[in-house]
Amino acid sequence: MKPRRNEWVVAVALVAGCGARASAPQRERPAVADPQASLELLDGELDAAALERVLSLSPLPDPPADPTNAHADDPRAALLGQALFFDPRLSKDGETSCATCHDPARSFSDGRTLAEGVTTLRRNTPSLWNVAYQRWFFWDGRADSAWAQALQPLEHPLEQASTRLSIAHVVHADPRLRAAYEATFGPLPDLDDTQRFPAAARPVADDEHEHLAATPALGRAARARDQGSRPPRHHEHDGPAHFYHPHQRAWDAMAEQDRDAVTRVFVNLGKAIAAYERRLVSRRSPFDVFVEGLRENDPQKLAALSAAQRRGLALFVGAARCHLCHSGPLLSDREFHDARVPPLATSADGERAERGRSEGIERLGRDPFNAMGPWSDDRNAGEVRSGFLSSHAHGAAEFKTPSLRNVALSAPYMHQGQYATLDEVIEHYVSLADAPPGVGSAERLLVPLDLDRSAREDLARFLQALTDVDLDPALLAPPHLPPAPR
Amino acid sequence: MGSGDALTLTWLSGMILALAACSAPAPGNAPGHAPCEAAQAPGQPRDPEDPGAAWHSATSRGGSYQVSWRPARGVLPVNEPFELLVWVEAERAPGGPVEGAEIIVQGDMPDHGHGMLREPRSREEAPGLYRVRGMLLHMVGHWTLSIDVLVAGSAEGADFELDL
Repeated sequence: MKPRRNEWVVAVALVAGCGARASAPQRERPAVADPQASLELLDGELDAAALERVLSLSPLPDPPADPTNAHADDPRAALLGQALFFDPRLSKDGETSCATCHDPARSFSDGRTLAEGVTTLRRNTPSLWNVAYQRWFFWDGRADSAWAQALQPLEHPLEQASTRLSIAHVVHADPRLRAAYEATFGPLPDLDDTQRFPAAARPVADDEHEHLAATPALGRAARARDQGSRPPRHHEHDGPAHFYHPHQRAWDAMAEQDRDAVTRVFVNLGKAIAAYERRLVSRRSPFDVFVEGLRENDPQKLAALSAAQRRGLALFVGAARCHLCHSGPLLSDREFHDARVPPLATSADGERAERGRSEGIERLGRDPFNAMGPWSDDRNAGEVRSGFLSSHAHGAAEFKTPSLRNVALSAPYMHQGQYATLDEVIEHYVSLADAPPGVGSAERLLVPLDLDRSAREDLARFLQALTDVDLDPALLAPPHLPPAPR
Repeated sequence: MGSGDALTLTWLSGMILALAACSAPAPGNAPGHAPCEAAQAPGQPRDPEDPGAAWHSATSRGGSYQVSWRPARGVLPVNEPFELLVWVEAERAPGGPVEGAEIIVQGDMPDHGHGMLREPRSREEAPGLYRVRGMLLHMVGHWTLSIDVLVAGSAEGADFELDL
């Protein structure tokens, strides 16, 4: 096997493989008809390197396959998932659906600083636009598939607060939901047998108490920002750490095969919801039309961006260096950074409890629904996705880079909704005046930027050009499920 | 210009860039970093999927090993999972492939203050030839790749520079 070094030859054709600079892009992109003509049409606004960076940001291809969800592209599953997404019966109070926080009228978010469930939660509600392109879910990436993400709020005591048994009963008792389920996933278990299948039951994680509420300081700060928002409903969650939860008690009383059968139903419902969410794609914003214009040397399409937006784009891929993290056609690297955003509240029980990605990795490892686990439809693909994570145990909290597609519609911004407007976000990155000191793995590239007021406005205007809400209206409301066959 | 011409042009420009990258260390390389040496061992090790692949080689910091690597699929993707093939030979007599080692790969972005967000693992596929799974370089920019060879509790590695 030994390659004798003195026989190694430097062949020109092979040298092309040396160094990353010679590597081919991982995904084919449409060709540019005439790069020089495009540069001339832009009248010197971009140089060749900047043009290449701009081209790397569009178009957004079809969503990547999710082999961990065998039903991801099944239209029947998507229709069922859409029904579930809007169904408030999947909550303890019968009033809260996925769409309560991920409201289509609010860009699949809620417009709040922090999410509001039974009480104020710890983080800002992310939009669901283009969620199928994500690699990690939640701000800390504690889920590694869209279907595993969808399951967590359903049973979270401060979100929909339901149980997998309660939800299975809802589907079983509704003829249309049941028919839609069984047409896709096969027969439901015999949930009429209440001896075997109690009304409510779920496994309760040992550390559930640790992850329940936002701190009081965070809640106060969020409510102060969201003037006019409804006050949180009163809820106490200070039970003893080893309290034997009735949901757990009921779960433990079930036969193992019945527990597995119910968990299978629960997982399938998550996969159906994810199949619906895969359709929430936004990919032809004015910016995308502009990039088509660059590829086709089409001045009409180039006019999709105003002069100010074009200046903003040049800053985005140039002096402001936004493209380093907001990279690729999703305008996100889908990974995690400490962008030195100050915490919403700084009391002793506030931000210091926040560990971001390092906590997310720990929780992902304990999640029975992770992509490497028994409920994944492709555990090998799951291992590639999640099997090699480093601990991130050092440094400050890191959070996921959000996509910037439709960003203008999802204020407020950052993991705790710290900034009410895009102008405030830009101000943070330009001045870093509010940034806590960078420690550990804080992004060292973050330095104050020399951008005057007009440049900041150009950048904000460019971000406005990333909006495309042209979606089939049928996806924005509960679907009409066909009646059950007789 | 047809797509074939565009491909040829891309290939040629890649070749020119690569020649420049391999002829000398990039400016700013830390002292002692070996220049990227891309060469083909005629015959071995060869990947049936990509028999023409080039390897990057450097002598380890303590002079014990010659460490060679290449992306298993020939290209180094940005922000996508990939695997490395690593070939380790003893520099000192009697030479030969270094068997039974564990290969530890770390990627760092010195300009950013952070590095790769993955901990890859290796498996020996043939004497001296290791497959490293779990690589992902999530950003464009300057990376340093440290490939350590762990044998009998003792680690010694080689450093490489990359510009994605």
